[in-house]
Amino acid sequence: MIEGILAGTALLTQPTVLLGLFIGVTIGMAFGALPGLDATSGTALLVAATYALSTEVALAVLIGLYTAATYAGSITAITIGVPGTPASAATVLDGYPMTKAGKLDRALSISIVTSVVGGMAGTVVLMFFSLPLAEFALNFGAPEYFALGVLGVAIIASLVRGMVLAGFVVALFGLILTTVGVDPFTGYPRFTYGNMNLLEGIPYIPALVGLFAVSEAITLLYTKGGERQVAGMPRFWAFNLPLSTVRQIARATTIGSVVGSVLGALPAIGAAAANWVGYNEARRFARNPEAYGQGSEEGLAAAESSNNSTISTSLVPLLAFGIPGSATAAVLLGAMLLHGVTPGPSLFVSNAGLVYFLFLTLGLANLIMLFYGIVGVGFWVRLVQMPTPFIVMTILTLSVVGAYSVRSNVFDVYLALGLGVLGFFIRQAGMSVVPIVLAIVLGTLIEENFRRSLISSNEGGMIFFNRPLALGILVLALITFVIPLARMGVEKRRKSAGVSQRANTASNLE
Amino acid sequence: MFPLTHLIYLGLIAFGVLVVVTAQSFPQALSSRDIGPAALPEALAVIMIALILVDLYLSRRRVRFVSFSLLRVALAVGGGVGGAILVATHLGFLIVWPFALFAGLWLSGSRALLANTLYSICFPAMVWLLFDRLLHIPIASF
Repeated sequence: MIEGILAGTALLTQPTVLLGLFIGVTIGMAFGALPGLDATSGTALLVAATYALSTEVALAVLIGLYTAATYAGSITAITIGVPGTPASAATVLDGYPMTKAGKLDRALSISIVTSVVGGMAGTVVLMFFSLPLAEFALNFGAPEYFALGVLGVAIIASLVRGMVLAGFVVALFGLILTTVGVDPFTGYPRFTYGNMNLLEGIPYIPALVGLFAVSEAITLLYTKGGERQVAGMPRFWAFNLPLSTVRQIARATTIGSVVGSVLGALPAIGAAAANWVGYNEARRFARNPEAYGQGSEEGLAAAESSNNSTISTSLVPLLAFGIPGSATAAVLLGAMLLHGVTPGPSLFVSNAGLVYFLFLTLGLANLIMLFYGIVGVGFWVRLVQMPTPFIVMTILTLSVVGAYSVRSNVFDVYLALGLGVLGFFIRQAGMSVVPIVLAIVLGTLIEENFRRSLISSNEGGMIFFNRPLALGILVLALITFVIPLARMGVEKRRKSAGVSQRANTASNLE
Repeated sequence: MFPLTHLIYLGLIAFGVLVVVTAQSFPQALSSRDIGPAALPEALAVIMIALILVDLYLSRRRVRFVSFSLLRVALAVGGGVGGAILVATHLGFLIVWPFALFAGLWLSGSRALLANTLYSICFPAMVWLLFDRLLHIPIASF
């Protein structure tokens, strides 16, 4: 471990890497503060720009961006009462009332300090959890990886709120898209229809850019970006956190950090859910729970520490198994593959220094973020008021250039545009584009490991039943599919029972 | 108003059918243990169509209608950006993009003439400097 930390430190302390991290955090602060952009779409937009950089610099830029953008969503939540990202939805409950009560400086100070504490706690958890998990995963073979891939897609698809079947439908669409291109086992070009651009399959980066960034730009344009009236403007040096407040928020911050760290490590739970659960748990154990939701400093601390602690731990499944557990992790996986790095247990053996470099980068990104949160926070607040048309044109321009730059191919730009329009329709229909992205990222892994399992076994499909771990994971995937459907059926029955009961009561009254 | 979910599902069913039909012409597997290039996409397409039909049946009483303006915005952005890319492939990014941005800003409601002009000129120049000059990713040619 010490060797790994030393190797990671040597990579991180290169001037270009530090500069990259600083730039990444700066861009992340801007993206997070701009309504409509979040860590996922921001990372997707920037992946292509890192193509020409060395692996370490590229990862430093993207991790800095991811960390800062998740935090900066709270600036919007606190100043205008609209969460800049889904991960800061619970932050609005206490952050905005504090601003209206004239305590904007205090709210922003609590937000940055507790975010950094949560981020650091998550990084420590990531370090201690991913190592043993990766060691365990070294025993995995093709059947287990196939099963893990299926489970990853199933979990993400099952979490599309209120539209479970739709989640699976779009995930299947994504999986079919990954079969486009040359078949890895026979060399036959599938679904290319003579188009040479499709021989290598649907390229990741344009797909990510289209589904996340272009669709977001069209959504912003369609919704006009909403009202953005800043309730107060902080001073340039706005840090205001007395020791008495630190003591007061310590318990809530601890609860938020622990809840966020644990939830973040579970695939597909993510910062948005952790934000709410961390907030609720802190309220449950609070001395004064009634104050929550009315400008409580503890409530704000719990919400902020919980969402930021998921940043690091959401990378546990990616680093330990090579399976992304969240949308942003999927984008980071795409970026790593672009730079020839395949995350997973073998990375801990072949390039342990890079793994520790990632841990250390996450920690340092939090410290740079702390600097930005203390000095010049007023600048990020002003950014919140940027007019929607300018945000939309910025996203579209970066999307076009980003999609083009990976292969210098105009076809990729049209592909990103097409998927962006499709993604916009899918979002407006109340579905989610995340299952498609996860399926696109995991599809090749699923097919290759499925067919490799069959080819290497004498027992055909029974190989998945004869390997207990693979079978266990597949059963878990099946349960993930069945439980939301069963819950949907029960809710439907309860609703119809309620309707008939009301009808009976009405007829009795008549 | 039109039922957006139904429209998406209709498109996905057509896509699924196309996948199944196209896969019929794929060759057999090279090894008797392999399933071949066609089996997986075919199976996925069939399951997708089946799930769509089940979902359509289950949600038959709660059809969600959306405004046609949604279609207009999507087509305007898709068409506008697509057109700008097409022209840019012939004339170059640096020449076309400032005009495209200015038009885009104006059409999306920004009437601040000076800010629009400054942004339309400076932002593409910044992007070009960053990608083409600093990162050596050529973008001027499209």
